[in-house]
Amino acid sequence: MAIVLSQDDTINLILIGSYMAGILILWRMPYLHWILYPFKLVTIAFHEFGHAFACICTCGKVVSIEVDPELGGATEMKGGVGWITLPAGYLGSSLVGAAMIFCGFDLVASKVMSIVIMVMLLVTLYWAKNWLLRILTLCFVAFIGFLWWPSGGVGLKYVVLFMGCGHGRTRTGTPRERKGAMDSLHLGVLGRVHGPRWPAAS
Amino acid sequence: MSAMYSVWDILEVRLPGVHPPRHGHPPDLPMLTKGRNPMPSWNIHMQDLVFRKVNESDASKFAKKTKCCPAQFFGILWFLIALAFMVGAILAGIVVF
Repeated sequence: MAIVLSQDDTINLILIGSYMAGILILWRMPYLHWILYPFKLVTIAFHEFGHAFACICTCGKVVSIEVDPELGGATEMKGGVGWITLPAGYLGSSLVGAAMIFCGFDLVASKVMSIVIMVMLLVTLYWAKNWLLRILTLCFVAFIGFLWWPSGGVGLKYVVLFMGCGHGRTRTGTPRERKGAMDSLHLGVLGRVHGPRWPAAS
Repeated sequence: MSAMYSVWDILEVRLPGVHPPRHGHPPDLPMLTKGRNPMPSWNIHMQDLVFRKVNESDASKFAKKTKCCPAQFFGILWFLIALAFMVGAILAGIVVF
């Protein structure tokens, strides 16, 4: 079966490519990398949502979800099947990201996806343990809700596609407890490197 | 100038304890990247899940549970699955819409 690219498809593919290249470049830019910061945080929120959702599906109970400013996250669960809840964070958030890319190809699908995103964020808000996560989810819900208005919600398509591309790219769900060797990496994400420099120095 | 930098220096992909051979001057990339995250995102992900063992990562917890493979195996596996999701989503997007 041959895949035929329409003009819209070509535009979407170029968009996906440039979003990914843009994220890759922006990631290393001084100051400008802060633009990605809220998107990194929201990706972690989706990662934690994946754990929580899998926990509920396997008859567990979610106690709380936390996202910390240094790009770690933690979901506290009681019960649940570890075999499923553990991979669900990473695989769940990458599945959500893939769904966003899929929906980003079409305006109506993007609108549907934006509702799904808002519901997922509001559910995460319900379990939120810290203020960063509460503010983050509310801001994103407000932002995505607002995008329904300007010129018939065209912006949604681009934002959904962008968030989808970001999902494939960001580090997700690192437990904040980790110490030692990982600290330089961990803090390096925010540009505050206290520990030993990354091995290029040695 | 360009001869000083290998692709590993630019991408900063490292295995723990393994450094690429240096010819002449060691490139001083940390100086170039001072004050910001020196690694691209996908590499951070690979570092987290594959190249080094992060004791508390989901992959290593899962590896402990299954007791069959090292955490790196699951890191690579999950990464490949995520990649497949993404490629599948793009293809499906083209075909469906």
